[in-house]
Amino acid sequence: MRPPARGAAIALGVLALLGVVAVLGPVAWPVDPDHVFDAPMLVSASPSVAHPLGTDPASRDVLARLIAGARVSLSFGLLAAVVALGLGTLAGLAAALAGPRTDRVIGALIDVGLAVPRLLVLIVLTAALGRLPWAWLAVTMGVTGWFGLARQVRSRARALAAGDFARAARALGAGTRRLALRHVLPNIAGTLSAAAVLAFAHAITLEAALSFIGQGVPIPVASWGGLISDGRAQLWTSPWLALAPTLALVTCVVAAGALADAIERASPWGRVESAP
Amino acid sequence: MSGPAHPDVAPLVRARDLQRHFPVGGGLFRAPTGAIRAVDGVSLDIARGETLALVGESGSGKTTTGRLILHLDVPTGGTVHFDGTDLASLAPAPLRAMRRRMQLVFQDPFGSLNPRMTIGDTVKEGLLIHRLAEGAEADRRTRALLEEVGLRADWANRYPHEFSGGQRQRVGIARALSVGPDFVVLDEPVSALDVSVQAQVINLLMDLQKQRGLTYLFIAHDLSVVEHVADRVAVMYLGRIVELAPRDAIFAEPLHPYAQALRSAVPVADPTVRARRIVLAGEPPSPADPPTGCPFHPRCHHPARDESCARLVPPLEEKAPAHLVACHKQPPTTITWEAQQVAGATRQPERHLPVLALDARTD
Amino acid sequence: MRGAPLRRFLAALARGLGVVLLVAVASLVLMHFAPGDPLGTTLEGANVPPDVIAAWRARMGADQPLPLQVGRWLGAAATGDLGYSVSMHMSVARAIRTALPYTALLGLVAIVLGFAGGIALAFAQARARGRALDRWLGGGALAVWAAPEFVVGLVLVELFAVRLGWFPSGGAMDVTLGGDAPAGVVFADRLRHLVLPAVTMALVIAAQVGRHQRVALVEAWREPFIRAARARGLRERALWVHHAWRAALGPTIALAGLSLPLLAGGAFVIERIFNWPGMGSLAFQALADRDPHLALGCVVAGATLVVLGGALADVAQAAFDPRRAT
Repeated sequence: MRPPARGAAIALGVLALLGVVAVLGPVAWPVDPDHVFDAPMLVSASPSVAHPLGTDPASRDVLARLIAGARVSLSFGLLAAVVALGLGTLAGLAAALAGPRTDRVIGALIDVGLAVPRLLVLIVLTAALGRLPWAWLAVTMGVTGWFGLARQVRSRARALAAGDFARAARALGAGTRRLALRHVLPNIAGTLSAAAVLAFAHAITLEAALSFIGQGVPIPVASWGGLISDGRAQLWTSPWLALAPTLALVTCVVAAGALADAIERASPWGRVESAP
Repeated sequence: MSGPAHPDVAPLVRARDLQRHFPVGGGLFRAPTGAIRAVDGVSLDIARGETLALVGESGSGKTTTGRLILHLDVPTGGTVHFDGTDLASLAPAPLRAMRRRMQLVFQDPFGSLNPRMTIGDTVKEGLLIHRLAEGAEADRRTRALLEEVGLRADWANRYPHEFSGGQRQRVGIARALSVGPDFVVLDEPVSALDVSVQAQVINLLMDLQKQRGLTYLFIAHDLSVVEHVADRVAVMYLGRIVELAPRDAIFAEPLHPYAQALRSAVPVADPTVRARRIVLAGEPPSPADPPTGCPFHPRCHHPARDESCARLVPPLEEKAPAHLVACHKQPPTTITWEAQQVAGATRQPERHLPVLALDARTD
Repeated sequence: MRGAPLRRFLAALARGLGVVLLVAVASLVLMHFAPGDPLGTTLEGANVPPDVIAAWRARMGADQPLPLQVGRWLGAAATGDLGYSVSMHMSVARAIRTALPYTALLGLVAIVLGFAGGIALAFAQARARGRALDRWLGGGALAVWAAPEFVVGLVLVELFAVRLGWFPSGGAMDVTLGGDAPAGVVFADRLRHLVLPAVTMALVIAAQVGRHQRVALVEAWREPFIRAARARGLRERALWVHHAWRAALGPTIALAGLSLPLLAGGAFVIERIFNWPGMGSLAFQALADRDPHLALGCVVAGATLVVLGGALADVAQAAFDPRRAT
């Protein structure tokens, strides 16, 4: 295999493994993440056979909470990525194909969206709307995270639409929808999937930052970011509390980043506009 | 091929004073500082069944002219009538319906096919758009089209990257034919192909024209390709037509100095002929900053060239029956000698035929 | 169209001004439609008579229809008046003027350090390309890039402030230091406070810059003009220093311009970790105290900073890219 393909395979493998842990984890490790084991003492125990990753200060099993966190964080990232992908693709295609006026409006929207720090927008939104359940937070994350993707889609779609095969389709009488669905979208699939994978990674990291500020996925639902924040006070006395979710998050984001890089580089349809 | 334009029959395509100016410079708060005059006042008629060749070097506006005629690019001035209908007057839906009747074949066999569609789907697309056929019937017609252009019907499920340049070009032709057009713009259809393949594709195009009664606008960057294809030839320079004449007239007696240069560049098969090329001085000027007067005057080799060429824009006028030339130094001309003198002329118009002289010597 | 750098910068600024305007309007609209009355929350439970609240609302313009509110705010903002901060008991403009220098200092130091580090990292990787060193450095950069800023910050705090005690864990100065302390001591104290937040932010920047710079460098290495120079027999080291980095710096600066909003978000978190009294902390306070005008001022000021930086990056990129002639 060529190096990008091998890198992509490894990254995809890691992400798939995390996905399997999230889906099947509760079956393999059937411990309630919210169960308090040592109610009177409420101390965090070191890793042991009964608790491979120890317990947290509320005497809950860290492994079980980590698995629960994987479910939350991965679904959170997926939902946010799907929303960002949908909005970004739609806006980018509309800007590129639906005429100059639409292009100007969406272009201005993209410029504004990219100029404002996203974390700040999210914090303002969560402050204005109150603490959101995780799914709505993820949707909000997607709604604030499509601008870069839309810009990419717009520039690629514009280049494709100016190319010969799109012109041939217009000469045949193809409308905007056919142009978008048949001629542009299939040719930007690589760009789109890379951008979606990155959006997924960003959403997970941003949620962690929100959790740190106290505006993340609300307790008692445990996200990786929430677990890291909860564990940061015991960084030296019980390092496993913050370390385990940090490792999980960093592994996931690194794999996503590597996958996105590999997709960009390995796209076999990269030379669409090239002339002989 | 069929005969030249017949003046009594309404032409299939009638373009009048077509212009396409692209604004340059300027920004959000500044007006454009100028315009690139890609096409600057082109008028031509194309009769049913004829092949009009449009010849010029890159940047002459020939490709843009082709797109304007198909209304794939909207002209900034002028009109196009297709079979009597003003294309600018059509709403989007009737225009799309009209597209069935006029098609386009591209120069680049690599960029002109969607790499993510099988060639069968590419050829079938037009049938589906115009609801000419559906399902199995569409598949059957797709296969017939592939065979008509010399491809195997069972290749329909393959992707463009599996084909050579010549084969892809045949796919592009099949795509154009799928909707049963009357008129096809061939935008340098063989320029990107190997010489050996060029002849095959040209022959295919000529056969198709005969069988289907097609009308062609054949765009090329030199005269050699169109020699055996065209009924009439229009030569473009810097967005304008400088000579428009029947094929034989252009080859035997090119009158515009630029057309003469193009004519002299056509390779001659006879080894006894001493090929003397007219080599033009300098590069073609930028369409953003065209010369004043006759656009060709800075590179012109006409012996009577003088000050008036930089001041007067020579009109496209008839020098012989059906032979239009834009040069007031080639007689006869409607620009009187007095008018030329007012514009600073110092040399009388005189007939200048360097290419003809060359041919005569070899006889 | 290649304009003079100044004209280019002004054009970018003009575009940016439009962006800031839109941000301001969008924020005002959002605030108007947000559930709950921000002012009501501030005064809630304070046993304030309704007529006082009404007077406050009138003073803040909150009782006006939305378009009028927007117009009034924009009109006032044009004269430098960004409203009154209920929680800080001072004008928003003054609060921002106090906080801005801290953020500017932190941001500039971090960007300089981060770019220097990132470019050095990329050079080390590019020269060792394909070897183990390249992979180890790349892996490290990837991990830092992937980790949330606050994790990097927390690790540094724990290590260098709590464990080793080399640097203070937060704040911008030692408040116990008297006003009569010698200038040298004050300067050293400020510097010690700056180190950890600046290094945290610089690490995040360096990881990002390094990743992109390495790709750009390796691409530049394959450019014909570099190959030609190699064929002329120039030493590899000289080539990297004189040619490749010049070709590679443009894209990296462009990236810096694009990632400014991301950096601003990171700065927000980092200021929070280190109690750095800059714009991030101010914005956080505005949100915690539900102080509408202060929050609005912070968002608009943040967008202005980002736009300004983006315009600068745009000009710098044009100046550094030898191939950019269009």
